[in-house]
Amino acid sequence: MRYISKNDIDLFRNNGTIAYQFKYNYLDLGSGNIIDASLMTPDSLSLQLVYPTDLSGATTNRLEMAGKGTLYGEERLFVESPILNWSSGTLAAINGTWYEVIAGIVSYNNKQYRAGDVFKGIDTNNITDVSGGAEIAKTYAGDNEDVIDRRGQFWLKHLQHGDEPYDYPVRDAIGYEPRSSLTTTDANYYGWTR
Amino acid sequence: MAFNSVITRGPATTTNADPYQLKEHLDEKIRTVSPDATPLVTLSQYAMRGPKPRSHKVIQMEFDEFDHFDFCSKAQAGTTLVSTGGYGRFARLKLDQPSRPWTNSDMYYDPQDVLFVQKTGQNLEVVMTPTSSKWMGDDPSTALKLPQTLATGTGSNTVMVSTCTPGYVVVRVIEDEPFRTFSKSDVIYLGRTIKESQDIGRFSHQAHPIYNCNFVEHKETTFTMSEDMRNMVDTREAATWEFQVEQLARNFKKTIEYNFMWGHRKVEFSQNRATRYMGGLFDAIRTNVATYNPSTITDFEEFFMNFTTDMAFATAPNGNKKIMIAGARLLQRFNRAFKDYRRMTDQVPAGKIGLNLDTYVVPGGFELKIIRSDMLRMNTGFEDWGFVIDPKEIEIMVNKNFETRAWQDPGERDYHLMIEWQGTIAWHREQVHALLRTA
Repeated sequence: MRYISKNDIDLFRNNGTIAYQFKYNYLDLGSGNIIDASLMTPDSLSLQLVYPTDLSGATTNRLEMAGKGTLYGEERLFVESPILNWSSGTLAAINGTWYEVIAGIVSYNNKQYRAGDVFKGIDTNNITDVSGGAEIAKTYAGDNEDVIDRRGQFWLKHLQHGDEPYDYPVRDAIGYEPRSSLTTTDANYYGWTR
Repeated sequence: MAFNSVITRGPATTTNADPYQLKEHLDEKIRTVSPDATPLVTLSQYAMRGPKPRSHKVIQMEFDEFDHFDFCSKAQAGTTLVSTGGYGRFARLKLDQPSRPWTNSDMYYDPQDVLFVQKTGQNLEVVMTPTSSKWMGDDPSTALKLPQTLATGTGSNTVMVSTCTPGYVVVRVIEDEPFRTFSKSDVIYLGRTIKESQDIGRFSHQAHPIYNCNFVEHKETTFTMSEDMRNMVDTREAATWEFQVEQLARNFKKTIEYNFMWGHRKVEFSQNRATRYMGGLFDAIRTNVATYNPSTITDFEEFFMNFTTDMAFATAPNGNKKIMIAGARLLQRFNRAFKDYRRMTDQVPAGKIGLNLDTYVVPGGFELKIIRSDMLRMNTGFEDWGFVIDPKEIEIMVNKNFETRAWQDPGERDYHLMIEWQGTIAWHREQVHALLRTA
């Protein structure tokens, strides 16, 4: 299983040793392997259950307690985000779901996204594997104020006027939506010049 | 009024004294109780002072250096991929390049780059990438071609191709020996080794800084007192204008300090005037966050050592000392972890017993000074939290530094006072800070 987190977290055992270590905000244990939060003997080897809340109503579900769960439970310490399974090189997007390209190049709504890019599903059209062997996974929702990448900065500063009806850059839903459809009361509105 | 001498019989006691004539003994001094057990240790006591912000958005550039370490998450030997044999020294590696995900679609490496594999100790030469393959002679026509199965993991043994799948490279063992199999391994990049008098290559790599920002936040607090209350009523200190203003200022300064800690970076454009919020320390720390459960932990020192090595000092560009602003209970747990140490001293306790440790030396020459701060208030969910900070990476930039304005509107008699603060924090490299928190 592949897990993602908003931080490079360590999961500690009761005896203070590190059981699992996230790096670059993810941890890939490989197919079939999951974070084992079950009680172990001796108890000092058990994972510290840092989310003791009864999230699902089942107090014995220790994995759930440890933070496993649906992706958009963002209060969780970490969430499962497996590499999504392509069926014949395409995958129907889910409206409102965010995706990260892990490897290769994919295409969605006539735009190409490369490894490292993040994009938001805005309909149920297919995401297509362009490069062959591309990998994508669901990820956390983007943040308007998050670190703006270099390509986006350049695009915004040098290539756009601000009122373009289409042709937004790769990270479209991170504050660079086309301006013409926005009004001054839109959360993403910025002034434009032409 | 007619003459009227008020004389009564009986002893004079407090029950028949005239209350109007009683003089009370009221201490003039107001003794204040703070919700915090100790004087507040705040972020601005340690942070650097930056210049006045010149715009509402404070942008800075950061650069993450090239990382020679990579991770191979899948290795397929040539003998497995090509059934006809003859490819025992070859392998197809999936290199995750986790430190530079953007290069993954076209792969950072080029033919003739050398990789060292931690698991097997072999040196591997890259012979094929998603965009090119090694020239066996002196010109492009001699580019190496390999069976499709070896380059892409699928297809035919007899079809020969010259590029492999994105995210993969094909490698050949440098030593005269077969590829030693492994499933996953750390990999170190050893650069490009060329042949004798080989033509100069054209493989270019460029580096890009990334941008980070914070927004200038504008805060205010106000107070109003009626003219009569201010000028006409003679009261003790607590009801005076001065007292109220003093308390207002004190509250407001604390408010700003809490903003430095807990603010969330955001711009709100939904009205015709934008509201800008600055990100505080909690918001700024993105990389090093450890969550622990203080009630189940059995070896706090082991845990603390792991936390400090792994997170607090994961990056230390400004020297080997950092400060931890800790909740009272965390400091207590830290001391309790070393409670046996006090028996090892030959000092005879002279009426005092206890332990007051506040500095932890981390293997590698690092030193962490732990300071109790009631910003992480005792008996709340924060008492077991601790922020490790490097003050040199925190720059407070102020436009309006607690400026006050007292005024009266022409049409009214009330007195008003406003205190405002406008500024932000430039968080430089957030990777130098760390957060130790509970759920």
